[in-house]
Amino acid sequence: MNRILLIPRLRIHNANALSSPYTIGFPALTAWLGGVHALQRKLNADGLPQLSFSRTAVACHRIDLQTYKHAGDYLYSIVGTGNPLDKSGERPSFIEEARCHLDVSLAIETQGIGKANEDEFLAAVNRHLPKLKWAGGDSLGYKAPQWLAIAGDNELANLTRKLMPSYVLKQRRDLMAQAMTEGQDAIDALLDYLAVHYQSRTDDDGHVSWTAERKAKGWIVPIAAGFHGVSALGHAEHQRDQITPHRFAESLVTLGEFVMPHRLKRLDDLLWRSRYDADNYLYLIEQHSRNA
Amino acid sequence: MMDPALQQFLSERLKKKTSSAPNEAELQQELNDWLPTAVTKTHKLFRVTHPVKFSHPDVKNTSEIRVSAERKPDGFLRSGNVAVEPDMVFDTAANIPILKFLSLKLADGLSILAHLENDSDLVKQQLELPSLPYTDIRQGLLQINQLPDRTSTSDKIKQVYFPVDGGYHLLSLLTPSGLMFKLKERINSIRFAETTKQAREARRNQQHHDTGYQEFYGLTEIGFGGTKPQNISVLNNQNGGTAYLLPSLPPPLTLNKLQPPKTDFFLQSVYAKHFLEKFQALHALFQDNVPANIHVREGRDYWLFQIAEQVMETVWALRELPGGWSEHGQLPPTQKIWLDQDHAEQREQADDWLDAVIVALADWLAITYKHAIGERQAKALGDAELKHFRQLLDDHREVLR
Repeated sequence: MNRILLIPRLRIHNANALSSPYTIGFPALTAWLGGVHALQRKLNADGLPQLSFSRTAVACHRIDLQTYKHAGDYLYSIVGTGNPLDKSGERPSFIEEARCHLDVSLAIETQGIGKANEDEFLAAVNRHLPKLKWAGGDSLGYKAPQWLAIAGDNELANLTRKLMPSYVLKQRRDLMAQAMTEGQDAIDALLDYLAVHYQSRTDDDGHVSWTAERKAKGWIVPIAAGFHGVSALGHAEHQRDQITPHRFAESLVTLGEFVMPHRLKRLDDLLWRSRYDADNYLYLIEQHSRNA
Repeated sequence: MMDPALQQFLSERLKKKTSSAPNEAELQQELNDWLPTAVTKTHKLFRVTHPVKFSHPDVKNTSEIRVSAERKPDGFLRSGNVAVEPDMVFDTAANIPILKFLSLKLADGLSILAHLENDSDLVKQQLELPSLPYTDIRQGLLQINQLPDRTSTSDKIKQVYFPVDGGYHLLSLLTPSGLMFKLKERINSIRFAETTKQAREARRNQQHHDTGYQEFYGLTEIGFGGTKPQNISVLNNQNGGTAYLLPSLPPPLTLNKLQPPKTDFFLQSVYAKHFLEKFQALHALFQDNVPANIHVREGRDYWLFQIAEQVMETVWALRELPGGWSEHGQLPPTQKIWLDQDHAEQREQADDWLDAVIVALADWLAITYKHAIGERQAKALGDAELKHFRQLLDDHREVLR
């Protein structure tokens, strides 16, 4: 039995759309799982110490990205917001921040909550949820959280229909790994899947027709799926606390596919979890892979 | 003979002092005067892979990072998985000429820095000066590869906690500028390639082109450093302070402002012409004369369900309307439950309405198929087919709920 906390129709204002140094749009998975973890900590401290949130899906109902494009422009620009002024009252050197407004539903796989403390659990969720930030954005409201128990993949539809209409991310790192195994470097592998490839064909009568295709079927996008440590683990001056091991890190980007949740057949294709791969310095947000 | 790149570099410097074109002796003198001072300042310049000023232009005195990670076909865009040259950062803009000097490409195409690292005879010969021994020049300039021995982050750098084994690691997030600008370079090399221009032109004129071309849509430009990109890093300056961001967005959901149906959803909200291609695909499989094998059957079920899903898109859109709209219409009661947000709870708790919807939707599939394909061409559908439609929809009843 998989126990799922469903937070329907969370409306978020000004979330961070700069998901990595290479991508803009749907906020990074690390930000969503970070928010879910923050909620868990609050609930742990509020009478539910045994509770843990193990995996999460974020269903996107609507997203408005704050970018603009003038007529004739090829590139979009970021809609800038006023930065806080510095000490001397000057605008600081400009850092562009990309924002978005969005409606999502969260499906959070939960451990440590039984029939006995179900009501207490939902009441605590309602106490803490309004105060949380999501991907740096403010929560403007949500519909009543629900508590579901589903018997694995067989009853997946009981969950996914509650997420409709929306799109959820499915991991497609396999596509990029395959291209890299065949010799492409990470940028070429990524771009090849994102480009629209225009090709022409001449038929027997000499008639020319052009086609526009992507390399793979499905709505394939680059996604920020964790971090890569780029320095040794240790301690640094000016770190947020002096106890936690610290290191410098960069964004980790791979491919994902936006699909409508009711298309999915396995819970493992819906839910994302975090995992640390110490050997490769990787801090991953990933889906359970059958090969792992 | 002084290398042409070096000559040009020194001429540029002298241009500020004299108007006449300098001769070789004057150039040599400038090198002799300037380089020893440059050498003493190089310890404040660093070759790094993750310049901290992309995080915030005011960050100071933090660790400088030059990572060399292993290349693996792990499916990640990260340092190590693309060959890039390190970026360079500096304390003040006054020292930019030193970086330019080190980046100068000598006649063989290698930079002065690369030559110094290889300790080549060529660079030794070029930088042999009366004012300072070559070994000192080399040692001084190569300090650019030495990073300060400090481990320091900053409150201006985003620091995030990541859960690890019941505890956390704290990660200070930096930007790999080499990767970020390599992405821009690759995109631009495709966009502006001569073959791309020719192929675009060929397509516009409906002519054949051998290789075709690639196009990227929805790119966003992001700027670093405002009017002073040089203060962030050398690569940032070379790129005019802008990089490209790839779109990472779901498809737009067509939750248009629909008119709610007044008497019947199937008559007023879904139109055969919007399903034409799917019904034609279904029809092709109905016509398949191969004795019904598993692929044909699966193919039919696939298209039938595709159509049902498209119907559901309209259902979902109607459910986005403010609840209560069905109250005063003459919709059949099952459709009111199916479509109006106000009946969400009833949809969860009861099943009889859903059974009725399944029967109605199966009927609609059969009728609309005939309508879309044409009465004469369409395969005659009997009770067996209708029963199968219902069974198929029932198997997916939770999607319809």
